[in-house]
Formats: sequence, C-alpha cells, structure tokens
Amino acid sequence: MNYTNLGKDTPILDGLEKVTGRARFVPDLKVEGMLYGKVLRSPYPHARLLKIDTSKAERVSGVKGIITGNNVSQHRFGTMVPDWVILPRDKVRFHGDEIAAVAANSEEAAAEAASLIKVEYEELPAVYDPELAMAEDAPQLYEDKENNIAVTFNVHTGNVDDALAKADLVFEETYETNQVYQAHMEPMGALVVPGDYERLIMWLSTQVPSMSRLRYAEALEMCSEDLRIIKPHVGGGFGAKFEYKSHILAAVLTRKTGLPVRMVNCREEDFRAGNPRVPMKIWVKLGLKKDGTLLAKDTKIIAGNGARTVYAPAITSTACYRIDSLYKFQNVRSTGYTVYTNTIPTSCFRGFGNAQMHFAMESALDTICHQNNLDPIEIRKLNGVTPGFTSIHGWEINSCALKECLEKATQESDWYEKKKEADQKGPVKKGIGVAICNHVSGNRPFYKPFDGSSSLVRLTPEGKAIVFTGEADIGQGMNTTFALIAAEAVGLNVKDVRTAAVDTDISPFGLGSFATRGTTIGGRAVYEAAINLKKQLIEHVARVYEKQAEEIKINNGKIYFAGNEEPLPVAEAMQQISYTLGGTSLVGHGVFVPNTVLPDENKYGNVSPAYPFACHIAEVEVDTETGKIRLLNYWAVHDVGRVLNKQTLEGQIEGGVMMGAGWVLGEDMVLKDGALVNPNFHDYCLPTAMDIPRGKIYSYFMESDDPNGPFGAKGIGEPSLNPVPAAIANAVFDAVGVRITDLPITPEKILAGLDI
Amino acid sequence: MTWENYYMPSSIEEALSLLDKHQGEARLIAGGTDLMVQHKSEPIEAKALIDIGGIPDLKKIHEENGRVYVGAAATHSQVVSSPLLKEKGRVLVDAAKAVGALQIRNVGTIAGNVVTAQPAADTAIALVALDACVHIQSGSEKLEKPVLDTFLGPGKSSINPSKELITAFSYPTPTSLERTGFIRFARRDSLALPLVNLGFWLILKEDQKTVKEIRIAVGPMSTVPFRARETEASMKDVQISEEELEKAGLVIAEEVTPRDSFRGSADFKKYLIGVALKRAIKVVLDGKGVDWDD
Ligand SMILES: Cc1cc2nc3c(=O)[nH]c(=O)nc-3n(C[C@H](O)[C@H](O)[C@H](O)COP(=O)(O)OP(=O)(O)OC[C@H]3O[C@@H](n4cnc5c(N)ncnc54)[C@H](O)[C@@H]3O)c2cc1C
Repeated sequence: MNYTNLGKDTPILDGLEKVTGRARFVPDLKVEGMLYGKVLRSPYPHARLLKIDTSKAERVSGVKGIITGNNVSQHRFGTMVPDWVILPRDKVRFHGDEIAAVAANSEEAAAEAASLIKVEYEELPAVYDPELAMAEDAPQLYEDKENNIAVTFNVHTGNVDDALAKADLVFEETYETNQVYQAHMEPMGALVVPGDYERLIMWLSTQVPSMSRLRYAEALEMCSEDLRIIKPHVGGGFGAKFEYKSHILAAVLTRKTGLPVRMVNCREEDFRAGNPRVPMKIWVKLGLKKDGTLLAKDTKIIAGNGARTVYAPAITSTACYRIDSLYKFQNVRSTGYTVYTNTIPTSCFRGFGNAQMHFAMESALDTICHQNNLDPIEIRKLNGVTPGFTSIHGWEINSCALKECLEKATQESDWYEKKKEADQKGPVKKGIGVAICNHVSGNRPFYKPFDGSSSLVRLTPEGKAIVFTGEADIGQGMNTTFALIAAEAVGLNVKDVRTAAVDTDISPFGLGSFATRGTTIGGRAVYEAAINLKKQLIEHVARVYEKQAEEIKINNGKIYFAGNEEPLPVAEAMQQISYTLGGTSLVGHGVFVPNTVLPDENKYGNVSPAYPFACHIAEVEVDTETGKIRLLNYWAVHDVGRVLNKQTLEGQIEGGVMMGAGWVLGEDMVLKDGALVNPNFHDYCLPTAMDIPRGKIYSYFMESDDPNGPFGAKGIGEPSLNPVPAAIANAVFDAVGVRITDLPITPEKILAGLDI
Repeated sequence: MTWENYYMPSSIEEALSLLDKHQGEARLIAGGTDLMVQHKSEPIEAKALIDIGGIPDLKKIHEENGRVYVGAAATHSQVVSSPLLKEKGRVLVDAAKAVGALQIRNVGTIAGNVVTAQPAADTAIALVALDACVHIQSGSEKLEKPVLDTFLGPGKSSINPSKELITAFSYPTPTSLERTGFIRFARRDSLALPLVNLGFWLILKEDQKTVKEIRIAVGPMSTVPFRARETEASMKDVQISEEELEKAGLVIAEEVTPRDSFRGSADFKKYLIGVALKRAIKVVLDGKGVDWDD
C-alpha cells in the first residue's frame, strides 16, 4: 500500500511551539483578576480533625476566600468508589491529604494564609503496608471498609487445582513492585474562570477532559453541561492526570469568590499528593508440561490503594487477568485485593497493572527456563497467542505478530550468540534478557456506560481541514496522529490539517487518553469522519464540476478526474463549493463503536478492538564490585499494526524503555512514618540523558494490519514499558546469577545477592 | 528577596571595600548554585549581594613560584578544561567533572563548594586530598589556612562570607613522583550527590612503586570532608599491588563511619569506599586515569 502521509517521520505538528517556549500550558495561563489557589495539606498520615481555625489566615492581605471541610458540602463521590469528599470534616488519611484551600491575589499571600490556618489534630495510628492493613487489628481508614479492602477482584476459569496437580513442573514465587512517580514535566493544575450563565470554564491539565467534566459536575453538584472543559497543551500525564482533587478545589474557590482561580501543584505537592503507581505484592504459581507448555496460572495480588480510591481497583484487576491473553492459558485463577493504607492515593501509570504483572510473569518464565533448561525464546513462541485466537477470557486476538517480534528481536540482538558467551573475566559482567508483552488498545470495562469515540472533521473553504475530537493530546503527539489519519483518509497533505484543542463546548465527547486507546479508537473515529467528509467532498465536486462521482480521486490535496484532465487543488474546489452553499464548510462526522463487550461475572468478554504485542531484549553490564547496573543495548520490537508516524513511535518506545529502566533501576518513593522522604528531583532519581544505554535503543515495527485500527494501527504507549522491568531483571540474572524479585533492583540488592 | 542591592565589583579591592562598607550585612555570591537553593528554603538575611563572578583575578588558574593557584571564583567547567590542572591537578579536574551537570559546572565555583561545607562536596574533597591552602582576605588583612581547617560541621564553614573573601586555593607544584586521583559512586551518572567519593594524593619513592606518603579524603563519611589517616598510615612504605590495594580497601572500610540514609545503608557505603580506594589508586599501577563514571 502506498501512503502519502503515513509511515514516514512526521515531526509533531506543535513541536516548534513547544521547543520555542510559545506553547502555553495551564501554569502559563493568566486572566484578568485571577487569584492563586493554595492547598493546606495534612502533616500527619492519619489524624482526626478536631478544630480548624481560619481567622488569622483570613486577615492576611489579599486573601479572597478560604474553604475547609466546615464550609463545603460533605456528599461523597468518587471515580470508582464513592470515598471522596471535597474537603474532609472528620479526618485526614495521608500525609498530604487536603484540609483547606485558599484563594488570594498573589501566590505569596495564598501560601502565607495557608500556613496560618490553625488545625487541631488528634493523631491516629496509621498503616502503610497493604498486607499489614488487611490484618484484623490494623487501623481502619473507613468505617464501612472491613480489613481496609476497597475492592476484591476474583476470576477462576478452567480448573487450576486439577491442572497444577497434573503439571510436570510447578513453580512458585513472590514478586513485589514498588511505588513510583510519573514525573510529568508539567505539574498538575487547573485554571477555573466564571463563565456566563453561571457556568464554569475549567482549563485543565488532564488526559480525560470529558470524564473529568462528568465527575466534577457530580462533585460540584452541577449539570455537566454547565462545565466547559478546555484542555490546552499538556506537559505529560503517563496516567497521573485523571480526575484530581485540586481541580475541584479551584472550582469551589471560583464559585465562592466569583473570581478566576489558578491552582497549580508545586513539584513537592505533585510528589506528595499526585497519583503514583499502585504498589503490588504478587504471588504467582505456574504449572507447566515438561516441554514448557503452560497449563495453569494461579495468582494472588495485594495492591496499595492509598488513602482513597482513584483507579487502583481497575489496575489491580488488570494485573490479575490481562496477561492471561498473552499466553494460551486453559486454567487461570486470580484474586486481587485493593487495600487502603495511609499513603498517597495511587492510580494509573503507563502499563496500568499489566506492567506490574509482566515483571512477575516474565521473571518467572525466565527462572523456569533456567531451572529446567528450557529456551526462553522458544517457551514464549510455544505459549504465545496467535492471530485469530480467542483467549481464555474471550479476548479476540485479530492481528498478532508476537512470533515475528520474538524472531526479529532474537535476530537483531544476536541473542543466541550472546547467550553462548562463556565466563567473563574482570569484575564487570555482561548479560542479556528477554521479555514479551501484550496490552489493549481500549479497555471496555474502564468506563462502564459505553465504549467508542466520535469525531468531526471540517473542511474549510480554504481547503484546510480541522479535526475535532475529545481524545486528549497530552504531549504524546495524538493531535499529529489524528491529523495524519484525516489527511490520508481524505487525500490531503498533512500540512493542511490540524487538530483542534479539546473544548467540551465544541469537541465531541472523548473518553480520553488511557488504555493505549487514542490511536486505535480515537483514530478510527477520526478515520470514519474523514471518510464521511471525503464522500461529501466528492459528491459536491461532481455536482459543481459536472462530473461522475466514480471518476473522482483525491490525493495529496488534489482532485483528479478521469483522463488527462489537470488535477484541481482541493482549496480551489472547496472555494467554489462553499460559494454554492452559503459559504459553508463541509463537516464529516464519524463514530466508532468497537466490537467489545463488558465482561460477564466470569470476566469473559472481548474488552478491546485490538491487541498490541512486543518483544524486548535488554543487554546490561553489572559491576560485581559496586553492584552498578548499566544498560548497554536495548532491542524493542513492537507489533503496532501499522506505522502511522515513525518518529512518534520511536519517541514512545525510547520514552517507555527509559521510564521502565528508571523504575527498575532505582526510582522509588520512600516513606518514613508515612511521609515521603524524597519529594523532589534531587532525591528521587529519575534517569538522565547520561543513563541511557551506552549503545542504543533499537526500535523495530511489525505491521500486522489490524482490521479494527485506522489503516490497521494499534497503540504503543503502554506496551513500550510493560516488558522493560523483566527484560532488565532477566539480563541482570544472566550477567551475575542474581535474581531480584522486588523492585527496584539496587546495587545493594545485587551485592547482597552476590554475598558481598 | 531580602536584599536591596546587587553589586558586581570588577576587582578584589572593590569587593573587599563593599564587604567593609556593609559591616557584615552583605553576602558574597559566586555561581549561586548553593546560595539560591538555600534561599528558597530559608531566606538569606543580607542587605546586599556581592557577585564576585566578574572579577578576573579571582578566576585565574596559574603556576607561580613552585605553587599551583586556582582562583576562588574559577568555575568547575574552567577547572575541567584547564590544561595546567590536567597535568598538575588531576584530582581536582576529575572532581570538578563530577559536579552536578554541565549547567551547574558552568556557573558553580570551587570556593562556593568549599564554603557550603557539605561533607561530600566533590571539589572540596579534592582540595583536602591536595591539602590545599586557602587564601583569604578580609579588609586589608590576608590570611592563609589549610582547607581542612575551614570545615566546622555540615554546612558550617569557618569562612564568614559576609566578611571574608577567599581569593584562591594553592598547593605545591607536584613533582614527577606525585600522583593524584578522584573517584565517586552515585545513584545515577549525572546530577546526583555521591554515595561515596574519594580523592587522593600520594608521593612515590624512587622505585615508582612504593608509597612514601599518601593523603586520602573521603565523603560523606563524617560531618565534614574526612581524612582517612589510619588508612594513610597503613599504606606508608607499602609497595602498591592488587593485593595491597585489597588490604587498604578493608582498612578504610573499617575506618570510616558513614550514616544510613535512603540513598544507601552505612554498611554499603563502608564497603563501597573500599572499592573506591582500590580503583582510584589503580591509576598508579596502570598509569591511566580513573574514569569515575565508567
Ligand atoms: C542541581 C545541583 C547539583 C549539584 N551537584 C553537586 C555535586 O554533584 N557535587 C557537589 O559538590 N556540589 C553540587 N552542587 C552544589 C553546588 O553546585 C556546588 O557546591 C558549587 O560549587 C557552589 O558554588 P557556587 O559558586 O554556586 O556557590 P554560591 O552558591 O554562589 O555560594 C555558596 C556559598 O559560598 C560563599 N562564597 C562563594 N564564593 C566565596 C568566596 N570567594 N569567598 C567566600 N565565600 C564565598 C557564598 O556566600 C555562599 O555562602 C549542586 C548544586 C545544584 C543546584
């Protein structure tokens, strides 16, 4: 297939604005009379609120409004569990929990006033470890949540006990994944402006504009139509930027003061009260035949919800069962507990629980292969799902190039040669490790009411197209991808297409950027809208130029007729068409409703229209004297369905690999008595440019042409990270024979493993 | 901001007279990479800031009368790219290379590093290994003291930057029998404080193999940059070999008393400092430089 716009390196369309500093993000926005919001946060992990005295704070010059639990509604609402209130009256549940919010005409006045709010607390016993929190005598966070369990997930398909009894090999191990921070460049924030008709205009740094609107309407007890959400440029989200308490607080302050309020986290707040990764303890039991055929998988997961529910239960369930559709399992059982603790509420983070489980599963397979002399590549080929396969949970695998990914990665990395390498001299040892992954491109159960997306594509009299979507570009380049899809589908040049910023007054509803769904579901809706537009355009060209519709072709911004007739620029045709139609633009409307279903009580049902796959191979060097691990080379081969834009795919892969490497090699949110010890970029060590592989991160793409994705494309965002922790852990094991089962893999753990 | 004036003197005399004029209520600033960070958490009480970054005499790196002089306001980047120091102050060059990231090295200075008095300040450790002399001026008074004597406690220097100006650091031009080196281990390869760092100076006997005298400075092993004097003594008159370095590594691991922190346990740091010593001094064996980040 020859494409005009696809498969090339297209720089993101807003790249120039961003690198020149012209792009405006929420913290850059300023409006007349704007106030600055500041949150007062709890200095205790668990405490009863006895008294809140704001009298001194109110006297600070410039203060326009203060809200506390005593003067806001106490109705409960929430994302998955109604355990949120706007501000609590009874108690605070984590170090960083919101107690009050101030709006003042300067940041300094707001900060000063917040510091002058006098709060009397009665400290309560706290619990930080999810496993300990489930104990009978553990401190209770919510009266109605026994054993601090927010949600329990169960699935059992086939007969696990039988299968384990019959297995030649049974392997059992416990893995732990730690809490890490998304480290988006732009901290979370909102600007709320009072609008006409008593409406509120909310400029949000969010990845879910439409869903936030519904939730905030609930929180503010307003009709969602009275909230107008605008999403300007967003400086990264990685799962953190879903519904957020401070956005609501800014809105309440705006309503109270009648003035615009901008509330932006400082970096420390973003660390202390963002939505970090769900930490998990994962028990895995696997049964296999001698040849490596997987017979059964039994898992139990205890996951940290933090002090209130954001999306951890969905993340836990994903960890429990998504990987069951990577391999051809016949018997699986999983129980997942999402447990409250007096810690930062946890939520989505690239990989969404599937990443945590991949660390466990792909590490386990590596150990099984090592112990039983099985080939780690072959065992994955033997068990991996194949095109047309329906998984144990009813997931319909259409396109699947998993086998090809394994082959390509093995070949490019020179895997078998490197595996052969004999004993190495000197203190520094090399090793190589493999891991594969699956993921979704959309997740039906995430938003219960429906699945799908819609879009409008408007072709103006100037021949330029504007894509309207509710799906959010948060820096990953979605807007460029949508423009590419529309351009290709209509026959335009991408330079004549742009994607409008999400504005709920104009844009269609879009569930948002999560579950690696943007390209596949959002993009497919854009494709449908573009096809619809193209049909209209052809009809009007036929009418105005007196041609047969069938003989009209559109490509690269030009309209071609049969025979040798000069092609007509779309801009010229559109002008003539608009003159005959009262100056109108043409608007294509597209809807995509995927063939997914809400899983039934046995968790059976196809949840995604397409499933991306990948194989990663990591090559590392481990210094046996210092425990230091260095990345040498990394091969990431992804089944992306179709390459729409090479540059953004490579960007996602390099970003995903380094994000995963940061997690596995040292990032860690360290708590002491419930307080975060390292809430800054100095002490929380993200990898820098100096820590990237000494060699290279090699990206390769397999085009499996998915029947549901636009032009066959599937998502990339999360699969780029899923296999990373295990690939690196397996490479470390290969290098020095030390198996680390709890993240992060630190030099100290390596040395302990080496008995030093 | 608490200060009313920001001065940019162009000579040492001008800087001194500004300090004088403000009677202890002004504060010196060089790169500001420590001062501005401190100011954010605890506002600096000073009526004026005196920026010494534009005084050419404070930025000179030169050799005179058998001594190497490094101007107080020389930036880490200047130190890194100095041909003189590359030949005659390797420990300082390698320490300066390790500081922060390029942006920090471009403005941060060695006097700032010393006056901030952190126990693992990289160039401070190197200067301690060199047993450098600090040249101080206050009014018309000129003072000299060993750099180690300026460290009083964590963040506490004997230098009062509202009254005293460090003008330079100096040490004797090394002979052909002297060697120096620096090494550090950190949690990542840039922009990280060291888990441990170590600088050494040594002079060999005529055989080119036996230690005549050695100085070893390490951090963060105490409240101030630490001289491992027991280890130094144990290495005197020792002919350097892999085995002897192994032994010395064990001695220094026993000698130091680091603290547990979330960055690493005390035991880990004790162990690492032994590895650091061994690796740093290998430079003498193979004649090559230490590439601390490798
Ligand atoms: C991101 C970051 C990373 C860093 N990483 C490292 C690192 O890896 N290793 C490391 O050692 N340090 C590191 N630092 C600390 C800092 O950069 C160094 O200590 C630097 O050398 C300080 O020099 P400066 O010129 O910026 O000092 P300033 O901040 O200007 O001054 C520091 C102190 O010295 C006083 N002062 C300055 N010059 C004189 C003088 N001539 N006479 C008397 N007093 C004087 C000032 O009044 C002040 O009290 C880092 C800092 C940052 C912000």
